[in-house]
Amino acid sequence: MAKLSIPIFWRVRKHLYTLEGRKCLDCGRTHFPPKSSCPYCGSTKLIEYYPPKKGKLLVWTKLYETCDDRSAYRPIYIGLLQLGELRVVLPLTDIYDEGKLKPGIDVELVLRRYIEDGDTGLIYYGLKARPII
Amino acid sequence: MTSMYINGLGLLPIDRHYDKSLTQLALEASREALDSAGEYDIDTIVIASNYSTLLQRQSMLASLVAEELVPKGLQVFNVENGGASGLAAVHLGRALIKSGLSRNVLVIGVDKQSDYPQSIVNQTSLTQVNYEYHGVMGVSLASLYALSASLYLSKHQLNEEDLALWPVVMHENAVDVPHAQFKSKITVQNVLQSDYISAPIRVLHAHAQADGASAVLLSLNKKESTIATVEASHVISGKVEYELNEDPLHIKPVEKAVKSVLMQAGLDKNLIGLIEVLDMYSIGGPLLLESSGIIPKGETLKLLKEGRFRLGDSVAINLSGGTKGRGFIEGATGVYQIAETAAFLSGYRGYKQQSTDYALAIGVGGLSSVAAVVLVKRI
Amino acid sequence: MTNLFPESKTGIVGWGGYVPIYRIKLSEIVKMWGMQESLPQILNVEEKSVDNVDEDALTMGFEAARIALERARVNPSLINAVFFGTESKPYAVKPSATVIAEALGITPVTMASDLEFACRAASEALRASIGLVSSGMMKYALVIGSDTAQANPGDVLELTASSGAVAFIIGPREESAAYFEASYSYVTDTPDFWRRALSPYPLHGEGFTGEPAYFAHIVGAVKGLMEKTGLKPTDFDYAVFHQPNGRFPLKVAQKLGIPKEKVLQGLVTPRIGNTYNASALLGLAKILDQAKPGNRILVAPFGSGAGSDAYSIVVTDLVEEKRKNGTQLSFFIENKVNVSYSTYAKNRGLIKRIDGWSL
Repeated sequence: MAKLSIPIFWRVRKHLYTLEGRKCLDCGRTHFPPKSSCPYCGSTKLIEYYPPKKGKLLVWTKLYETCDDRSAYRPIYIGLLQLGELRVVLPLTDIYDEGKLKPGIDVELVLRRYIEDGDTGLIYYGLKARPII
Repeated sequence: MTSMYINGLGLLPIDRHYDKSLTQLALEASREALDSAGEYDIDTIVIASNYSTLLQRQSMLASLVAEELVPKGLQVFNVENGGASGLAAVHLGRALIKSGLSRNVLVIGVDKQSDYPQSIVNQTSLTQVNYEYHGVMGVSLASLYALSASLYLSKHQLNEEDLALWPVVMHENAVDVPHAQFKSKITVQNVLQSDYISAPIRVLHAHAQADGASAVLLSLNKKESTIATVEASHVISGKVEYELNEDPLHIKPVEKAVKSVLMQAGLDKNLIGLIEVLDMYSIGGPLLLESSGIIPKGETLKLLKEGRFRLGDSVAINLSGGTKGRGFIEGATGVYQIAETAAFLSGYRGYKQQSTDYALAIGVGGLSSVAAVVLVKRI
Repeated sequence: MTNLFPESKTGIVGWGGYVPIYRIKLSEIVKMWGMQESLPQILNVEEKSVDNVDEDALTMGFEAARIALERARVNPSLINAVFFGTESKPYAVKPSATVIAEALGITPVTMASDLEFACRAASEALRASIGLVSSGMMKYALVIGSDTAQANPGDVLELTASSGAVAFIIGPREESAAYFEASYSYVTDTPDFWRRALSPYPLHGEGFTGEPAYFAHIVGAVKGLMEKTGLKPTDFDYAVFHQPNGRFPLKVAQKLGIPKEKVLQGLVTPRIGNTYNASALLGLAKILDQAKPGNRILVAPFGSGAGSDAYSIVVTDLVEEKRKNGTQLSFFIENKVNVSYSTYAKNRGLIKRIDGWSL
């Protein structure tokens, strides 16, 4: 039985594929996900901001308590990243050696599956980060 | 500053009540509150529930309860503000009385998590973040609290052992709380040996799946049954997205809400002698307490270790046992917090009593999406 | 000869390859299924690449395409075709090409489709793109070959079926790191290997996949190219063939009179296995990572069903500059982590499960 919505993902697919955020022309801060007004100063003078593909890991965790629909991905590594001017929380992938996950390491963005709706439903794709070797 | 009177309390034991529905739990807590008040003339029901629509697939829960309590009909509201639902419901009740639209408001908090296995409960955690982005990515609320725990511990040169003390004290506090989910003690070793939920948060840092309902009768008029008063309250939104917080360790809406409540009451924070704080995943305790300005940054766990904040201290914190000892029942928790502060201020029905005039109930929805604070006073 | 054919108006403006980080040693698979122990040596393959649980042909194709775009340095909106050659697409119906096109900013003014011809679908797309660009219908086209190759567990094919992706941006010769001198296709109805519509794994004709299929078609395509162009084996500096294992390319080179030294540089299968649609073309990507201006490369992909293409590609002065702008294939080949059969089985979805609880 399919459970994942089509439009919910379709509306934000470009943002998830590119991490398209916004930069405020008044206060200069950037944010993701993109909003209609600056979450810091409230200005509506915003332009698109695409962060660089590479950045740094600030802090990470590994999540065990997931729903069964993500049990193949457990534990899900998640990190707070600094990508250019943008700070963002993203899942991490290709973590084969947890010992290498230290604050400050370099990471790069890669396109991966976020979740698939069983064998018959939609697949949601989006960016994750992986440590740069 | 108008006082609202808490004239009745209902506190159901927090447990897996497989045999009772949401409505039945809500009614049981309601009747306890109404019986203790000797007051049945209510004109408003405000129900706080996070997941009735998602898990029990039930909308308009307040109407179901109203049907059996006040068949002729009354004002009904369903309030949802994440973990701050209960406190927001009390704030709404207070606003209705202040506006003159209500005189006797029954505020009920109820949620049931035991109707589904843990897998589904884990999935509901995705509603507590920006679902379109972080929900889709699988970044649940637990993982965000875990990121904060890591940041907090490294910033203040603390370790997992220091954080483990929090749930140990919470369990100790819950031993003599009749409605608490867990009334047994645990040790730091127990905590550190429990599995990770989201590193460094472990199973014994966090609440367990449960059901519960609590009710308070909020009134314009004082009565013989009055237990305590609500003096001030505030609800304010913050950032839903974790990364939009300037400092992830500072929950700005909590700072603002506490400031507002103290200002409304013209009260100095040092006069607060009792606090019930929503201590999600244990780290929520230090985060909210320090964001509120009541405890200096980085000090909570250190002071806890020194023996502070127990019953009888100048500030007693989470005598209920918090989310770990008493339990966390989503939207209902805020109402429990009000009932508990009222009970601990007054020694109601044999509850332990903290010698102070003022208590603060502090809650958040998500990690920083919304904060709600209520000031309760002894009569 | 240089400007004789329409192909020569076009070339490779950017290229990129991607291989997942994980590997499984063939000896692990041999042990698990009680296969003949000498098979890895016979096949001349040491280990094969394994996709992570959250990867698939689409995500790998995107990574390769991104590197190609970094080398091409073109405005994505000027790419007006995205072709995805694969036999392991995540959806049987719903193109993966559109997701990649959207993710790279190429949509909406573009052609896009997934192609199937076993291992040569991407190569077919390559020839079609050469046609689209040389005709002037569009300035650039993106061709991707990507597979998380399937094989019945316990079958000898499991020893080589691996995961990888390659991408090329085809554009004007003047902007290319290497241009196409000529190309040739040789296709017949020869069912040596197939996968029925609802079957998770393919079947193959064992020995039949050799002479009547692989060898006949590659030889047919290469000989046809040489006749068409007048080129001889000695005119080529490198020769890259479809590489289902580490032996067939050397054998077909011998049949064609091409010395094995010219083949070894483009032979990647011994290190990463057979990436199906990316098989020969990753060999080409590897050559472009090291070739010198003026080098001539013979490329002959093959796909079961069956067919082969042959290309004569000449490297230009732009290759060294473009090489620097993207991650080299050797980075993906050398940086690897070995996993056990159980991890491989989990990643490849070989472990039978039912849906649990979710709303």
